[in-house]
Amino acid sequence: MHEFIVKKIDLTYTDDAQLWDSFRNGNSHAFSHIYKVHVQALFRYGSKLSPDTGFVMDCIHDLFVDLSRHRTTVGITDNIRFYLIRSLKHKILRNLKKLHKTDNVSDYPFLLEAAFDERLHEQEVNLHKRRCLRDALNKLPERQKEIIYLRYINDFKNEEIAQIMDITYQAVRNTLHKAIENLRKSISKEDIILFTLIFRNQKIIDVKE
Amino acid sequence: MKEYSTYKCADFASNQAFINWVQHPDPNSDAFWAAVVTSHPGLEKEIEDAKLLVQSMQFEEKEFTKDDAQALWHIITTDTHKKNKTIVRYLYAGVACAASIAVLFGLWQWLGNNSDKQSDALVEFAANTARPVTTGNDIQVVLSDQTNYTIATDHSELKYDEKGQLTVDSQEVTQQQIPTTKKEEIKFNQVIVPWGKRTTISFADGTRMWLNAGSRAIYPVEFTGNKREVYIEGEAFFEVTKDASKPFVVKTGIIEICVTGTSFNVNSYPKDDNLSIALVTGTVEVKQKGKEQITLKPNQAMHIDKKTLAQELLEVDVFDYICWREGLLRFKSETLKNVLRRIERHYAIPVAIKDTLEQYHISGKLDLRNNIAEALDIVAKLAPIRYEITNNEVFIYKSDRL
Repeated sequence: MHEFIVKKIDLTYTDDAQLWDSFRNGNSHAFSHIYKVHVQALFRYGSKLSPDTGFVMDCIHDLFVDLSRHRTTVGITDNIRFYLIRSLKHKILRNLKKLHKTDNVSDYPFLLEAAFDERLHEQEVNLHKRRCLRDALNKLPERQKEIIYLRYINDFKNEEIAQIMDITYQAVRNTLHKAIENLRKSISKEDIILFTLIFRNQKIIDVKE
Repeated sequence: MKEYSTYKCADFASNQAFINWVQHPDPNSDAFWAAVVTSHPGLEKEIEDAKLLVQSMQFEEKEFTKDDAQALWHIITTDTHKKNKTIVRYLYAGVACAASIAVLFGLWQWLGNNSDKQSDALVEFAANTARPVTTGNDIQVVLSDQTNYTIATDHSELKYDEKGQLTVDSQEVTQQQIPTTKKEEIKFNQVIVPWGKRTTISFADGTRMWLNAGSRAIYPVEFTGNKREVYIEGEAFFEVTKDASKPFVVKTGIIEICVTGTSFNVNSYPKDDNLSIALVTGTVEVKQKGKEQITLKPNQAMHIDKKTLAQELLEVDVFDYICWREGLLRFKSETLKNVLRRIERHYAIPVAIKDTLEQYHISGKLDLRNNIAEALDIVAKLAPIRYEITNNEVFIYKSDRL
């Protein structure tokens, strides 16, 4: 469904820059298309920053009302999703700050929970590894979770992630590497156990022979 | 292809082309990565793990339906041309939860027609005493000696101690001692909460009862015997102190709710078409004449249709049922009529629906701590209505838009 809408738009607007320009020139059709295509991703990303659905919707609402009211003065972009996600994040963090009357928003939460459909993986070894990965993903620090989400779900490049998270490109790279290595540890441990089990069985067989 | 010889699992898993292949494989990329594995046999394990890692990047997402998106878009476009912004969370909080059909119940008429079948002293007492006076301004406590005590505060607190001594907002209220010779004759107290007020009653056993606007409760001065029985008309929330030897029974005439220790909400206004019981913690047993006894679990609600007496058991977000204690009102697919009834009771002003609007079901959240105009403004966004407020009445009309 989501892809269908994207494709439909691609017929009308060749790229993001053109679509964004149409919106800035007052094309309401372009504006509603931007909303339709991106609101789901915005809601999902926003819901990672706050568990309060009403609050997240308020922030998305404010973001689009502001865009619409100030369309003549908003900057240009050739990556609308990046522009919107970054703006939404600023809005959410600013509002959280107001709500909790705190200046310390650098340790905001990232409510990411791994999921996988157990029915899809019949292979016992893989199933077990998947479970380990799921648990390891859930245990990652908040910022590693955020990078993973932006990288693998939103398909953002490291440069874009750096801007959204307000950290350096190098920090994104290193943190992502660290996160993946953390995850891999969780399954390589399993390999060792599995290997020992197989090895032991082998020995028993050897003795019998 | 030489560039991959130094790659480790983490390098593959964060490589754009690699991620693209795992997430959206096609014959070209399949061939390419197969070739990489063949030319770097030592990397097979690294690539296999990297593939599994990327495949595992799947996360739980909250549901945001097309309807939610449309509703939010509607508010965005209307707000674009206004000075102020709507606070969406009052309109649509909880949209991403499972929908439920909320129905409420009134029992007075039923009780009136069938009171001969009730042999119960408490229910009989209720049937023979006056209905709550909704126009009165103060909370009334009718004591066992028929003396009236009125309370002028909006959210009062009544407390009974072990001897049956009543204090209201920390002030002692004397009531006639029950003569020991007549102890078998149970004496009742009655609390009547008018529109616009709420109250809390603490019983000697520690059980607490919150009464919403336009409700009344009848209960014995002391819980003697092997049951703790309370009669309710309107809406009440209970936190029952555990005592397995002395079950707590809430009666509404049509149903009995039997508990040992639990917290739950009962909604049974005479004017409403439905009754509901929603359970927060513990378990309760619901007994309805001629029906099988049903046990509710936490986050379940039972709705009973007043006309057909049909029961409906639902999985719900119980916060919808109990947030009235905080002056909030949250509803999902609720009839416009029921929402307006609640507004009427809360603001203590009659709301007259002038056009046929019964068919509208609305979802949203109202902060009833604001004034009535603010609450009605929000309702007017959810349903095609307009309203007029006069000195002592509110009129609801169908609006032309939509």
